Amino acid sequence: MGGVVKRVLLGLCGALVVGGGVAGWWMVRDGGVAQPIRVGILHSLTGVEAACELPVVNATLVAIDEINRRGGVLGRQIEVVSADGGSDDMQFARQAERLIAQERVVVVFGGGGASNRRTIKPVFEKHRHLLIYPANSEGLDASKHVVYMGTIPNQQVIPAVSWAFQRLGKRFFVVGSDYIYSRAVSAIVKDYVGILGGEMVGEHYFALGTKDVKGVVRKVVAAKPTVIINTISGRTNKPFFAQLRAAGISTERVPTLSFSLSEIELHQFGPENMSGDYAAWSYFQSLPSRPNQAFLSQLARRQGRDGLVANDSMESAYFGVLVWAQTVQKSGTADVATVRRAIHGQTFEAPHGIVHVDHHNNGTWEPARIGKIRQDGQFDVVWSSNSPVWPKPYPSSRTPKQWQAFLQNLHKQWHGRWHGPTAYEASKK
Amino acid sequence: MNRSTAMAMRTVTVLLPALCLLALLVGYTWQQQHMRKSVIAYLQKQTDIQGEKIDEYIAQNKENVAKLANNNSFQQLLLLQDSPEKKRQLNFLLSQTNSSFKFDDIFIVSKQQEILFQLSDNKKTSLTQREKKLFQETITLMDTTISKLGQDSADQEAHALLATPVVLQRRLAGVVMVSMGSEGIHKIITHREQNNPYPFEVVLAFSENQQLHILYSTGKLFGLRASERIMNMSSPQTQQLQQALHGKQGAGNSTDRLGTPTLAAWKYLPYVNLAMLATLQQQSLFSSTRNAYLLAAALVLLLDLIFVFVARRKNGSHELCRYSYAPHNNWHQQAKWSLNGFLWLSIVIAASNTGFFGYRLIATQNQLHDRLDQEARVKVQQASQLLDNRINNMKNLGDSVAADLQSGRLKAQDISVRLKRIVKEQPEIFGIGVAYSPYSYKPNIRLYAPYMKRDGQNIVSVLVEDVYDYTLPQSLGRPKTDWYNKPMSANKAMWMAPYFGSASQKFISSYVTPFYRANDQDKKNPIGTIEVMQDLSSLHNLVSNFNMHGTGYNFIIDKKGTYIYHPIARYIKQQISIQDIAAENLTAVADLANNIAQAESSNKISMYGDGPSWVYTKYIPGTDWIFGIAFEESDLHASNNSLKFFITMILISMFILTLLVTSLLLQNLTASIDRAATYFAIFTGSALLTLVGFWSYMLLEPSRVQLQHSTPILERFEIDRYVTSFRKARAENLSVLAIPTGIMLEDIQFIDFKHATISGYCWQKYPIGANLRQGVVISNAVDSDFQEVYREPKGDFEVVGWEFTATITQHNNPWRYPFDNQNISIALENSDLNANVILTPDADSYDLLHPTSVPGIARGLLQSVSIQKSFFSYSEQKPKNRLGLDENSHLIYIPNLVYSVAIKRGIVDPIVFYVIPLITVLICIYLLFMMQHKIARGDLAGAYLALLFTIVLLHQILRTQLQTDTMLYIEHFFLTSYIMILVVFSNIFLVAKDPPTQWSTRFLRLIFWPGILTAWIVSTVYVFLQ
Repeated sequence: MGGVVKRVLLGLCGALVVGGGVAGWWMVRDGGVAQPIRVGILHSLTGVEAACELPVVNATLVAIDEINRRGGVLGRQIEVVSADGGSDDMQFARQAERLIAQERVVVVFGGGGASNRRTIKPVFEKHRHLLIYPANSEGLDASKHVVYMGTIPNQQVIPAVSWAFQRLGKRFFVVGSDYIYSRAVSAIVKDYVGILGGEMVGEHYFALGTKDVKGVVRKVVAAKPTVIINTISGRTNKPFFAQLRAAGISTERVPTLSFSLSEIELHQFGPENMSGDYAAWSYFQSLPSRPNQAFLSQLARRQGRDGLVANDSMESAYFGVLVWAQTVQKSGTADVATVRRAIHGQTFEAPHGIVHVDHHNNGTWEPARIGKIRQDGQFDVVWSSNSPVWPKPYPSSRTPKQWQAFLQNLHKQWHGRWHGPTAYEASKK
Repeated sequence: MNRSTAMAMRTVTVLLPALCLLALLVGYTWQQQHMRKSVIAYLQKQTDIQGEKIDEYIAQNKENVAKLANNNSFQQLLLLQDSPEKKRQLNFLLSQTNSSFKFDDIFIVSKQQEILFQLSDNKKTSLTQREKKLFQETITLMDTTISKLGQDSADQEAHALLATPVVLQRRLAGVVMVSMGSEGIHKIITHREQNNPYPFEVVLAFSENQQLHILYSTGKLFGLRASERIMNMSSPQTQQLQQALHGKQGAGNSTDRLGTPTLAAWKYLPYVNLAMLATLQQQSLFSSTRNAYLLAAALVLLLDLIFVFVARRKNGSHELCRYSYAPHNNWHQQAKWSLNGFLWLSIVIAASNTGFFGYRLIATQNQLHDRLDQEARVKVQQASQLLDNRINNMKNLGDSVAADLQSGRLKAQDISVRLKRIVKEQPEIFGIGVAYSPYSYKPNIRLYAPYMKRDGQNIVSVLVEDVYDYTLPQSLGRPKTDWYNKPMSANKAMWMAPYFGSASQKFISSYVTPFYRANDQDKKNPIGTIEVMQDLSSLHNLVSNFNMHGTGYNFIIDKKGTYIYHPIARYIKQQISIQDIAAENLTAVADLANNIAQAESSNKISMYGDGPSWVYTKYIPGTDWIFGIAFEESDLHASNNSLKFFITMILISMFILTLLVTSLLLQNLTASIDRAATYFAIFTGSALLTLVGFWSYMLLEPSRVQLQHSTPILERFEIDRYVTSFRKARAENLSVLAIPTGIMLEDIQFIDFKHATISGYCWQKYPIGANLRQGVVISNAVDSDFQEVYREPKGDFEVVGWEFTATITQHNNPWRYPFDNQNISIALENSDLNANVILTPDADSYDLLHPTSVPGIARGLLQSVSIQKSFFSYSEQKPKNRLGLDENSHLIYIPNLVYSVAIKRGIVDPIVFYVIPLITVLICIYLLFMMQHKIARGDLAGAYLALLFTIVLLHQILRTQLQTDTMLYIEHFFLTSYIMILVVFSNIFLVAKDPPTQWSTRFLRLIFWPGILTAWIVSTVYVFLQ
């Protein structure tokens, strides 16, 4: 009997040894215990742009949380290394360098505004790294190291101008901030208003961050436009719209079509003076689709249902992370070079519809939509393209060479920066 | 026998086979999973590769269009007047673009949506709705080239439209539109298919109006009907395509539209906004592996059985039934236990197999029924929606003219212009007219009724008041005036009952609405009516696309049950109602007739004619009409190979199960019955039953007709469609005359497998004044004789009839004889080879062209065969030489009109002539064999030789009669008989040895009938499954 017990015990020990060995091999077969994948998030967490960019950071984290909850990518969790661009181009460049060279992240999500992006682009090109940029941009750029998840002018500005020409009127006045996005978009608007047979009756660019808009509104009134195209960045919007209404320019008389006003700005500045006007984006929070409802639920888990606001850049930041994760999963590696190549051709059902990273340039196929601002700060979609629009970095009104010359002129004019003197700089002078 | 030997015996006979079977099962499951994974990976890779190629192809063409629009020379061309020189220059420019730039047409549209220039000669007068939408989107999106897939009408192939804006001198000049067929995509896919290790199928689909449309389905692009291009919304394939259209890529299990399990991979193609699905049938993939494993399992069982018997013999218990009488003998007990174990194991396996296949058969049948049900519901819904849209369009046209007349937006003097424009722009409208009441048009003019109608390609203007007084009440012998009087007296808009227009020779239905003076706000005194007419044949074209399977057809009735549309034109002409059909036909139809008038949703009604038939109906809200689809359930079963496979497996499993159960019972019976005799009786009985099961199924199976390189014409609307597409595709400047041709067969005599003699009547309708030689030639006839028997003018035609006899060559494959089909095909050509004439089926001479209505077969023809189908088709196989004509001859290739008859062979003659004599001879051989110990050897050999001679003679007669170079199914029976005679003949010599060999006689007794029947079952299964 004792012999039997001994034999059973020996058998059990043997089984344990073999089982343990197999389990150990299972755990270490992919190079030891799964290490997290480090990714960088680079946005303005402080400074004037922080108010608009913090929600984008939030949306990026929502996507990363979602992936980690599902077990990560390739069985590895995602670890976030956050960096603050401080609403300053040079700070952005320094932080980008740190994330890539010191923190060894495999991808950076973010990039701030247009001038920040243009400043940090050379850093990514130098390190042959990968930036996934969530905001809409002025185009005129197609770096292999930046994937543009937001819309570019042929997906936002040009359709909106054409739509406005057909529906709102033929006399256009452009107002913007004195930085690369507004200047480039303004040039594109001018070209296409001409092509359509309309008339540019005036333009004005505010210093970044200014609140002084009085003279400009008088200029607008005098020019008698039928449509105002707005590319003003940040807080200048609030006094501008207030002054417009004070000057008797109602949305019915002269509607404004904005490329920089989203749900976030409406929430921050209040929609009172803006309801009835229009904005062009790919995504609106009010879209009824199921993927959008799922996105909003994910967002609500993080920041609560009360005052839940989402905009186009947040949505792009969200699906940008998921598209990257899908690419890593499909490639079987998080290696920068492999992912940079494999991300072309990726298709994903984003909250606003299907997005597809183009094979030829790093833009994404996105639908064009125009929304009318409601009293509650949300949008009613009044026009939508039937299918996603092919991203075309350089509008056909000029050759790529002519566009590059245009950019260089501005760069030179701004003394090597991508924006004019800011309101702060002006006040110091 | 000691304990350890007994244990060893149990292990060897029961445990070891069970372990082997288990190992085989595990191995099979593992290998299936492994193969499944690798095939799915392969399909995913293929969707990636081919998807990218398709995307690239469209992207390149988009780029080409954009380059063209931005090309300075092209822009300069736009400034030139439309001229041949402009076209020449444009062609030159296009030749400079990328060679992959394949297109059907290019046209340039101005900002005002006028067509400024068109490359092809097939001039468009205005943009279609789809083109208008695309134009609008292009000038809104401005700086991009966009593509749109779709089809302009239900009977048209889906194609892609690419559009890009043209900017001339920094101003928007218009939009360039390029129309592309899907041939380029077809080439990409077919090119890949040639190199496939797994021949998978590809489906490309797009979404339009919330419906999923198939753009491409492997190999069937040009054969797919419009209704087949709209996918059933509930099938797994559809769901996977929908997922792909939502940008999701995936792979996994699927089932095709007939419920056959497949593996699939799907992907979204962004450049074309298409969903791509690659599928591979699981059955074809796993069948060879499964068969190998089944064979291995059978081998294990066989070896086990042999081992049991050999072991028994070695231990002195070789007599089959002795062991049960020695209960105290340990070895016998063990052997019995082992055999019982083996039998129980086999019974469990066989019973599980039977149950499994039975379950799969029922599940597949249910799945097919559900699918059929869903497909019919979707189709009936879609068709009624389309009809409703069409009808609403008519209604809106009439109402808008009425509103404009009343508001003054349409002046009386502009009525004709407006009416003409409506007829020109709305191809589905046959005519439209305005009829004023007396003195309402002008105080000095009594009646005024301008009316525009379509007459071929022209629009004809008629003043009705010049032809007759439409205000008079309708009466016999006078022109119809209800269209005016009824709406006027009722003072409301209404749909008029369809009628056959004797002048237009068309079935017309119309919508009539009254109109009023501007100051008559209450609309109490109408001053006239507006009648919008549509040609019902256009409705036929629309609804015919929603037929279900082979025997399916559709119909439209009004709320009284009168047919508005039915494939039998007579029903519409004579205003027959569904109640009339019920009165003269089936009682079940009467129930249908009673229910159908109230039908406001999809209904399934089972009727019992030749088989269960289903009818689905749907109320069309715009009118009081009801649309219906009818079809026979058997059609779906006929086309499903899975059902056939399951039936085979059930029959075989049941056969094996019966044998195993019998063996087990005999093994354990202690009564003094003759076990061997019982065993063989049961074996023979169940084998015969299995054979009868297969034969019955083969007899009931509908005949199949091969339609390679040909287009069947199953309904009258398909004739016009085919001729129109043929003219469009081939005859650029030549006119091709269509001659209606009919045939009536009175007799068919089969000479052999390759020849048949036919006789009957043939007729043609020649347009009066046509300058061509009259007559018909049967191009596949060895000899023929035509005698003209009548010649009569009828309207614009002269009908010429001939009585004919001909010997025609056939290409039937007889290897399934006597369960084969005897199809004949008669290829008809016009005798004037110098004329460009296309023969068309004379649809007016037949009630229906549908195969199951057997058009062109005289009643009472051929009692010994069963004529299952007859139909017309166009053979599109081009001759491989130019028939001695010059390459540049003005003659163009014209397809033959082929009349085909599918005939099921009568089974009685072959059974009486061959099978019964053969079985009789086999029984004689068996009896002789059983009595061989009582007959002298020489006599026995002589008797065997005589019987062999009888079989050889029978075989010789069969071969002489059928003259074929393939081995027929029935010859397998002869082959078995030859082998059996050889075996029993050899036994004479074994028995003659000294000492005589007895085991061979016993063995032969055992296997004589089981061997023959097993051989027959094997060859039957082989033939059945082909």
